[in-house]
Amino acid sequence: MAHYRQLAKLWAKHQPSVASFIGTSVNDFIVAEELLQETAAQVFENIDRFDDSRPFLPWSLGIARNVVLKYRRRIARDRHVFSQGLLDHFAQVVQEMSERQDALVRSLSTCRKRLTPRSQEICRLRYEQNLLPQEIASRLGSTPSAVATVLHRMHEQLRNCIEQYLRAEGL
Amino acid sequence: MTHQQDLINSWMNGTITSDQIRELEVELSNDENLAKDFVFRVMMHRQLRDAHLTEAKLPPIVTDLEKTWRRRSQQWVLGWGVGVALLLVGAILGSRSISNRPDWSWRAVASVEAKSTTAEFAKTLNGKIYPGSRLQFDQGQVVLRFGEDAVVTLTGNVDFEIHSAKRCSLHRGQVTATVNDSGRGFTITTPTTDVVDLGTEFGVSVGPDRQADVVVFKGEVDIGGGNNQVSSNKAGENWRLQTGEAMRIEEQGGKNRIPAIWNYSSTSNSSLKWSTSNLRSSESLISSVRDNLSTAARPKYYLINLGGFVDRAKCYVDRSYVWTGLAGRLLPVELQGGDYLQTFNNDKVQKDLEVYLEISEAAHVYVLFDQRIASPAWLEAGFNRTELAVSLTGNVKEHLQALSLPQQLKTRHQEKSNEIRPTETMEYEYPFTVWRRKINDPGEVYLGPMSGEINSAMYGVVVKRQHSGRSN
Repeated sequence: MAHYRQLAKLWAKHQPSVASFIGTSVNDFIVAEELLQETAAQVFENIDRFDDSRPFLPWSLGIARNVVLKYRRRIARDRHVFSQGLLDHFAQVVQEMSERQDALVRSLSTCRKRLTPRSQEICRLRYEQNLLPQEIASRLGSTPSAVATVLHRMHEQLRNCIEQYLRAEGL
Repeated sequence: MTHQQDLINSWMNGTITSDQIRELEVELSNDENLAKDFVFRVMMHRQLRDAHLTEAKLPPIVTDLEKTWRRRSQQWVLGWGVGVALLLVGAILGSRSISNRPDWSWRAVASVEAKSTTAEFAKTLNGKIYPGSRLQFDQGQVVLRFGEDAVVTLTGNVDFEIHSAKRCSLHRGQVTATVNDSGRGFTITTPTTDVVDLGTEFGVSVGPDRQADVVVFKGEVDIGGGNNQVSSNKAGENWRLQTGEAMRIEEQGGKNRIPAIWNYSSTSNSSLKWSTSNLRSSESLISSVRDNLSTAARPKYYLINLGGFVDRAKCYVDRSYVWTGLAGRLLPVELQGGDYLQTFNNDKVQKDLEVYLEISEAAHVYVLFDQRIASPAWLEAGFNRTELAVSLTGNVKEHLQALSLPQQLKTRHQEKSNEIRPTETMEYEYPFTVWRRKINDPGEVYLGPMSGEINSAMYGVVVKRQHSGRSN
């Protein structure tokens, strides 16, 4: 059985990967954060069941998977979610990419600084304010498609920048 | 940009449709590299959100460790467990440099927009509501705004708990929620069921016996799940309630139709002051309504608007038509200010319909009947035709857009609509005759079916106290 403090450290280390898995399941930030919160609660409530001789990430991803599936049942008729089979596959991919996740967290701050001021502002509205392209366009006096294009270019730029870091770190 | 990229961008932008989801799923299932690319982009996406929340001095991720530790601590026999837990939480929070917030808070999820009660609430600060807030008060009203997503009105003797921006619990009292598309999925948990919004305006009330009354004023909600799975249907799916439908979920899981809703608002177009029982029996001339249609397949409610028959009062629960006087005039004075019973326009095709109104005191019952069709025997036998007339008024454009009939019928319907002279505001009018019956003693009044003609509209009912000098 893991010590509480040890478990807290493990959770802090792997939380981004668990969050990413949930992010593949739900594209609404607020819902995803609620599911992450529920996953955290269940991880700590089930601490007695965790075998610390085994890796933590697959165990916590298993809990996250159950939380997501319960959510899927709750919104059974909403088709804005992937199938259970694909979610299981995502859980596997997230595990395989956990080291890249760590490097991504380290490099993102630097890469963001290279964005243009307009991209940074649109990025802020999307990720801090949780606005959709249509809402951002309305606020900036632009069009949804123009905002979507900026977001796409920004994602590509960030992705290329992060990939450079990953290659430099041999990942 | 490839089509695959386009789909992934739509996912990340929150604009993807359910059809595109299915398309993306096929692509991701068949292409391992694309699946990896998708996961990587979601990692970046998630991390961008986290980074921006941190910079905005908001908690980067809502992992409610405090609550978890507190819950666990209740199981610990030794009191030192609480201290260790709080120290650990403090250390974790401190490392995230979150400042200027109470130590119990994470992120404000709502704000108090209006309040007509003197009660003070725990876990609120300067009108901000944090996860874990619990609002309890005996009387009055509180209006909460959940950002752009939802506005929630709490009324009466209320016990309401906010868990997150999208999930609340109603332990007691009444809630009316207006939820925008962005708030889709907003969930109110009751002792007997979850009520999940699908973009709508709905009400929930929980009484002392813990039963939950769910009423949909506009849009759709799913009910089911929660602690009481028996509220789901036999297939294990949630029940979906639509505009004009209401259901009572008993503590043991039984489901019953709620046949009538009383609306105490000043106008019939507002739904903020409502009740599933006749709370003001001295004011409501209609003390109950029932019909002979099955409960489970048709959980519709009649809406009784006290004093609600005013100019442009909404005609039906399931349509947006309104009542006006003929040719732009006001409604007949004799009818104005009467209690108005909103029926369902769709019931015009129910050829065996029987509706019974319980009238509580001496009154006149008026039936507003579509002039385009012949008056049925039950109307002629029980009511007297008056010289009065009113108009059912609708917007031409809305009406045609709302038509979901097969094309052939739609064309016929449009041709029929073209016969109607549009008013200046592009509205059309259908004249309705007014039939009256004098009720001297409290008792039941029977109303029968329409003829089933599709090019007709259902009747409406006005009830007004008797005035001296009227003979029938």
